[in-house]
Amino acid sequence: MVSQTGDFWREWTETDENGHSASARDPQQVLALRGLLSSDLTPAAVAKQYTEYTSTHPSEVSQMWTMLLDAGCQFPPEQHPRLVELLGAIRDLPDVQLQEGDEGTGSIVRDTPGGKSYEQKLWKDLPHLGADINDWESSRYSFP
Amino acid sequence: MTGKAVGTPSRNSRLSLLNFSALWNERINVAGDEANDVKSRLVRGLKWCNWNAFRALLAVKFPERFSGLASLQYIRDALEEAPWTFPPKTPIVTPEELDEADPRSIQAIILECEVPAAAQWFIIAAPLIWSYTRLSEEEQGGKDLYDSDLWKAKGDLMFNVERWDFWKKRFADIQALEITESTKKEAAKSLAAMEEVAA
Repeated sequence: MVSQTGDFWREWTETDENGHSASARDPQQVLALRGLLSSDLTPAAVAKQYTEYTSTHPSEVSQMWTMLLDAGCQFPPEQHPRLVELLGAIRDLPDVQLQEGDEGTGSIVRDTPGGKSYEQKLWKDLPHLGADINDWESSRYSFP
Repeated sequence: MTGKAVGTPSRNSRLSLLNFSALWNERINVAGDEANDVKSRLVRGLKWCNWNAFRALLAVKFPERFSGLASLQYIRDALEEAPWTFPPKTPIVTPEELDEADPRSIQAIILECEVPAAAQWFIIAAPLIWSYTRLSEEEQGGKDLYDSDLWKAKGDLMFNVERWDFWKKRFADIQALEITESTKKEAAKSLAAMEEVAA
């Protein structure tokens, strides 16, 4: 199968007139994915690099998954096992303590006397990724 | 010192602002002439196929997080809907030769895109999907609410052996169509995976 991998790297590494990333929130994420798919880096090393920005900005986790799902669309099936290995390595990372204001993580939130309680772990449970896929599938996209 | 340091993420990061649905809309759901352009459609079909393969692998590796029950909508679109009503032996197809005014040709192109995509589910996840035919109504999440063009599904379990056999027949039928060898090959691989798991 033909792939659109050139489009993927080009679009996610676009820079603005100041040389700043215009697509990826964190350019390190693009480098991490490159390292993963070229087999230069282990999934565990990539997981750390790929999640570094989001670990301190959990409410922006959506953009991280958007890039990963986009890679699933743009890269051929032979590359998918590496992407899945990355997901597995992310699930094994020490988890992030979610705090007030982290509602954008997709985790189910409960109000408790002590404040908000997050029922799902950012990395272990991958709540936002599951929600992203569910939203997409519930909209019943078909091949256009 | 003013301005951002090199490498500081831009607040205007374009693709980063999109969730997956929005990105798919931007990339795939094109309008106007591009929507019907054959080459554009084939490129989009390739991404559709890649997505199905990735989604199937997620269902196999993380079934508790990304259920493969969602496969039904992809399989239904590919194997049970209208493009299959075009007559066998319809002469096609290179994109350059395709006459888009001929609805049979357009149907053939849709099959060229959708059949390989649905095939990925069986090539990658046939045992998982076969296992769904053993699930109860509750475990499947209810009965099917819709009939497809070519399969009366409404009121039946979404996954059942009869439907599985119908899908197998569809993958076998594709060999009789004048359709590209790559699509026939993916259909044959899918059929082999299905026969192996449900032998």
